Amino acid sequence: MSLKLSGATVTLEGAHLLNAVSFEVLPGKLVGLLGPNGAGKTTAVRALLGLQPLSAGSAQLDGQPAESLSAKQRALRVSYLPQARKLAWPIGVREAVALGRFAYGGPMGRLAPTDAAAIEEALARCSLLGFEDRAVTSLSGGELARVHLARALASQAPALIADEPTAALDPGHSFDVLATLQAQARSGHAVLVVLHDLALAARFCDEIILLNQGKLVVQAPPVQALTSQTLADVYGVSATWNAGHLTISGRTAP
Amino acid sequence: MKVQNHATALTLLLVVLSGLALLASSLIGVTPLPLARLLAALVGVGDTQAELIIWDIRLPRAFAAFLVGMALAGSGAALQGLLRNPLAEPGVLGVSAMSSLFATITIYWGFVQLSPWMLPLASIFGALLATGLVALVAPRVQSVVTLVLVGVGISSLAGAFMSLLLNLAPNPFTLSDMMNWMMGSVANRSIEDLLLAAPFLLAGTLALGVAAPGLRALTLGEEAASAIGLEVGRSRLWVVLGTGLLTGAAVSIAGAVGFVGIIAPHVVRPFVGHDPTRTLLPAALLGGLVLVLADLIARLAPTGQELKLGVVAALIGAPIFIWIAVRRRALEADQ
Repeated sequence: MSLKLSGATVTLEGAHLLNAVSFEVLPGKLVGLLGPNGAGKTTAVRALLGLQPLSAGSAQLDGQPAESLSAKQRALRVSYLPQARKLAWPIGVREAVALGRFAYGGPMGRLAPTDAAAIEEALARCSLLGFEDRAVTSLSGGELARVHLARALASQAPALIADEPTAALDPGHSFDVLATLQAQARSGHAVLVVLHDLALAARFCDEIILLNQGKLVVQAPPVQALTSQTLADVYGVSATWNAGHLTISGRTAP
Repeated sequence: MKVQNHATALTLLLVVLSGLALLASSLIGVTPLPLARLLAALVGVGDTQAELIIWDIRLPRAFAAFLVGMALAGSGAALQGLLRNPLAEPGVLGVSAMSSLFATITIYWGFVQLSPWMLPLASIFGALLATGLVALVAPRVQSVVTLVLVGVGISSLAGAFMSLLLNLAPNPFTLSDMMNWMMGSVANRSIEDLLLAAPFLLAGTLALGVAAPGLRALTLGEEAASAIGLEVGRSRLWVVLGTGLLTGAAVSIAGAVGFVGIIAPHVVRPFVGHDPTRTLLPAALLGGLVLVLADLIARLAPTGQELKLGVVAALIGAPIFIWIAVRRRALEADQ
């Protein structure tokens, strides 16, 4: 299962949100999608999923055009965690995670024993055992992020896309989320994660896709992609690599 | 906060209570009759007068209240699930008002004489128009408050046209006929009236049945719901169609009856784990039960003029609506 954008262009009211962007996410890789605010990260993700109409180029999920897939077919191929994550009702944690199996449900939304097993496994992997009956609205930010991650894992789709899963999380919880995503990639899944934290991305990701102003800057392993020069050009920050760790020291002089 | 799910037990309880309430309203009435005569008539071995009172007057009226309550509360629960908003309801969103406006128009210009189907069809058209409009606007305005305001606007617009019709009513008969629709009542409903609405009630129920599992997915928001495999647009269409048919049919039976659609789902939700899909059936049953009881109050209240069902429902419902709205703000402030 691979995720692929070829020459994807999205134009909205004359502005290029994406400008001929091509990249590919292969199975077994944890790929970080980075870029300053407004670089087109979320647009790229939505284009990849066929949710954002393209004015040129194509998006392919496992060789099939993304926009030709039904919502259900797409859900069986890719599990997607969008940014807005507030739940409308105080449903239970287990039920929220069970929604990850929605695409497998019968006509009345009934779930089979294999679904229950997948849900149990996802709950365990995200250390949510003991939380099953808690209302999602009573959880802390870190716990809620784990619930959403568990929901994505429960779908057992071969690919996973997460849009800023670490937003509003403290460093400890961010590490947990990235470690879980890394484990998912190691087990053969294609994982694309939108991140803002450069050091975190450098530490966990196998590859970095860097976008700036709707254009692809580079797709490469972190050490090659996030060079001091590139980071100064794209983010306007000065950064140094030290024994495999990236340190951001401040804003570059204008 | 622990989440509990007693959906099955609650549904069974409500079925039993509804049965008892329907039985009670067939036995209690303005004309006092001995219980033995009534019970005999109920099982078909009584005298003609008692049978007439039970089968032609009290039961159709009680069932009308029950069906209207079910339709409105079911519609409310479905709209709340779709719009992820506990204040959404056919009355609040202007669906009932639009529907009764179209019903009133058919009465005003005498279209009802053309065919008995005119009234339900016009009511449903009005209801679909309003639900369609709300569903069209809803994805654009993310704010709950804006959506409710749009509903208030639709309601006021329908109300203004209604006042215009009242203003221009040619004679007192038309006037009192139209007042009936505006206030909401199930007095003097016959089996025929119910049968006329039945196909639409059935179709609406089926449409909501198709939409039901998707409401659970919509808890995550539209983008995430689509990501887990829900065709959001199709879901929206089924809910609009279902609530349009149900509300329209309810209005064609009883005129505009407000607030049932907001109270019943609100009461039911904590007992079914707040799941919008599991809320539907028990909420509909509770809505039916509430209106049967409200109609009993309307019938038995010692007033010179018989109270209208819609008036009783609003008197009970509006304060509860305010309470829910205020509490909701408190909840939002917590987050």
